[in-house]
Amino acid sequence: MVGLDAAPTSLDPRTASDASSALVTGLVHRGLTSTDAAGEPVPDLALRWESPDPLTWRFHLGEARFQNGEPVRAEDVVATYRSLATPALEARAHEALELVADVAAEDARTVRFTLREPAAAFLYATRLGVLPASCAAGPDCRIGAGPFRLEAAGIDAVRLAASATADPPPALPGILFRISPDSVSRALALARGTIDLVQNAVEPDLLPWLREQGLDVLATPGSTFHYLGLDLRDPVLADPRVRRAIAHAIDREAIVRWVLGGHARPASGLFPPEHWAHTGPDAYGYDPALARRLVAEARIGRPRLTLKTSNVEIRRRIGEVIAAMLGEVGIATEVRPLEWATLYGDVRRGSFDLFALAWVGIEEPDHYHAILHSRMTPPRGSNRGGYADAEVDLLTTKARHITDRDERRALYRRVAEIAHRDLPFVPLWWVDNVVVKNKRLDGFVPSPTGDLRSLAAARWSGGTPGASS
Amino acid sequence: MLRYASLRLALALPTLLGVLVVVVALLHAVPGDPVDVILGERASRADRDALRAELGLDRPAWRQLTDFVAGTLRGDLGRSLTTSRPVSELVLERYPATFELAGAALAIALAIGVPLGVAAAARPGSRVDRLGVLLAALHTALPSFCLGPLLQLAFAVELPLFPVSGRRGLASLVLPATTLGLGMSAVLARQLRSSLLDALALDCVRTARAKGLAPARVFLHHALPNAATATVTVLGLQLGGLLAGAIVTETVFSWPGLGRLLVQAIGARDYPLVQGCVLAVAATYVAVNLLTDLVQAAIDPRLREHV
Repeated sequence: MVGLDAAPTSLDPRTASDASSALVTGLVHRGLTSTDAAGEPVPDLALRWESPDPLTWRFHLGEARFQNGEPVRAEDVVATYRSLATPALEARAHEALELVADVAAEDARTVRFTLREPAAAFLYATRLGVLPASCAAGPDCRIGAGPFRLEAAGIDAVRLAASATADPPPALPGILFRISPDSVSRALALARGTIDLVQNAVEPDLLPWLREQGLDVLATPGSTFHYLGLDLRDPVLADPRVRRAIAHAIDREAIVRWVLGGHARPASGLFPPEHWAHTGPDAYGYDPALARRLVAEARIGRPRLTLKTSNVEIRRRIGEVIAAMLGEVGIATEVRPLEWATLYGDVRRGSFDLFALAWVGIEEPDHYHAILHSRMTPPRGSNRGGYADAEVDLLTTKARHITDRDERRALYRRVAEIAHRDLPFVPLWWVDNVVVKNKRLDGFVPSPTGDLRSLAAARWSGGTPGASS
Repeated sequence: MLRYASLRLALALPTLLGVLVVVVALLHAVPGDPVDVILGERASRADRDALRAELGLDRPAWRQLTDFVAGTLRGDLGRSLTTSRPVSELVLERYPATFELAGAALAIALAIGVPLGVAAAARPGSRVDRLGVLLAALHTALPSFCLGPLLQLAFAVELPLFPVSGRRGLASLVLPATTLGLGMSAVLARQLRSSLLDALALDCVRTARAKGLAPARVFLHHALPNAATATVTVLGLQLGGLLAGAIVTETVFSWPGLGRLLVQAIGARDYPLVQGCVLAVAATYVAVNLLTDLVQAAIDPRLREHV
């Protein structure tokens, strides 16, 4: 039994955009590709692929069956990707798929994609779950080729059963996702044994208690990147010395240790060390004296900044700590906790001085283009602070049309250096994936992206799970 | 009585419409865009516009509302923006859970509150009376987001008698209903106590005593009905609140009721679903109020003459 903090809004991989939907559909569906721990695309339904030229990609399918017993054929892949052309689906699909000019079956096991322009992120977009052609035409297709099939979806639970067509079949007979929106109540259900697994949905304060209750607490380095966004159009924050002062004023080590229970790593940039695009510069060290000097040099007077953050308890607490640290070096900051849709709306409208948010599941460095290119200010992209640098524009545009890994790494290293120098956002930390699970659930390995796919290989040691419910 | 009831029903319509207009106008006024919430950040401008048109969000807010009202009159509440399911279906599937919880909480409140209130009024200043004061103070000091987890810890984890959360059978109803019912019983007991004390000082009660009626008979036949009107009003208001969704308790106990649906809908700026929920909540409130008035009229002959 897995505890989720919110109900999935869709069980069709084409429209599953929220975290809960992605977790559930990740077990029911398989894409042509998937990604490994380092964020590298690896074969999934496709055994291998080749790209004879930057605009053509050919995928060779392996042996697999859908949950309805039909084999996975090239025409199913074609039907799945063509179905994205309807407006509602197209809108929700990965950006790189909009570059697909044509998709065709060359034979029963070979699919050819033709792109309008080269797209480095294409192999990430092909992680989309493949649906049987017979059902891809409909709006809510729930049959996939994954290890579990969807048995029932209710308002407070989603039930999956091991798929008879999966090879190898999963050891668990099924998975029950229970929707439990309150964090304390989730922890209590774990202690009682009515929930056996919760990932990244327990407050750090409760972890020691859960350990005492005999639960496994596993933490693995994660890639979710927390940062402070800054409004570079604001006269105070436009001064690079003020931004450096902010970066030096925050004691990341202390926040990680005392607020996050040690379950995070101070971040130097967007990508963590295990990612191929991670590059050099060290995180800004905690140096309040230097920060105060920089503030004095900038002669900004007595500005009063507002830090907008989510009203989730731990985010609010972190916001208050950061505001206090900024106050120490002479940058008076007021925290304004907001409900999610309001916060997100404000951030997109540019109505903020500072905001604290995170990037979740970013594996492709093409993301730099969306957040730093001068033309990508909202609503077009996510350059919310209004950052503009001609070299970054050039580099991020060039890198997205190149497929050679080393060449791209070199370009992104330069982007990371400039971002480190200019601080269009202030890196905070990469949070760990924290899994709390029943000790008898064996073989579950947390993934850096936070998906639950290794449940397909997990098993129970002795007894029936969740017997006390 | 029938004329009174139909008049009240007719008056309920503008109330419902007013509530709807205010809530929807406020929701459109605060920042946040359903398309952003659905698509996330990486969608292109064209995609946003396409989805906006697809969902009918490119129309002005007043137009969306009038279309909604017209749809409602035809019995069609529209479809949820996030799940694409009919709003009526989503709202109706939550109602049983909400009714169940409100009904159970009311039963607990009556079972504890009435005896406590009567006992406290019978002997003001006694231990029972002080217990009532303590309960009321606890209710104020321990909101349900605090009492709920305490009950869970005590009766679901340490003493595994009931499920921690979720809605699975009668046992799962006990803790959330107790959380809500305890608080209600405190208010009920205090209200009943003070109304009873007032009633006991009335001339009619003094006359009854003077006639030589047994104290129990004086209490039950003369004081209690006089005290009941105010208590029923308080009870009706509280029950209305419960049926409108006990949001915090529903969240703590993962109870799939109407309140949680409304909060989720607001969070996602799912306008049709918010409208559907608000309509349901307001209608329930109006219905409970009407019921309260009818019960009062049945208890109190003076009210009947006015209607």
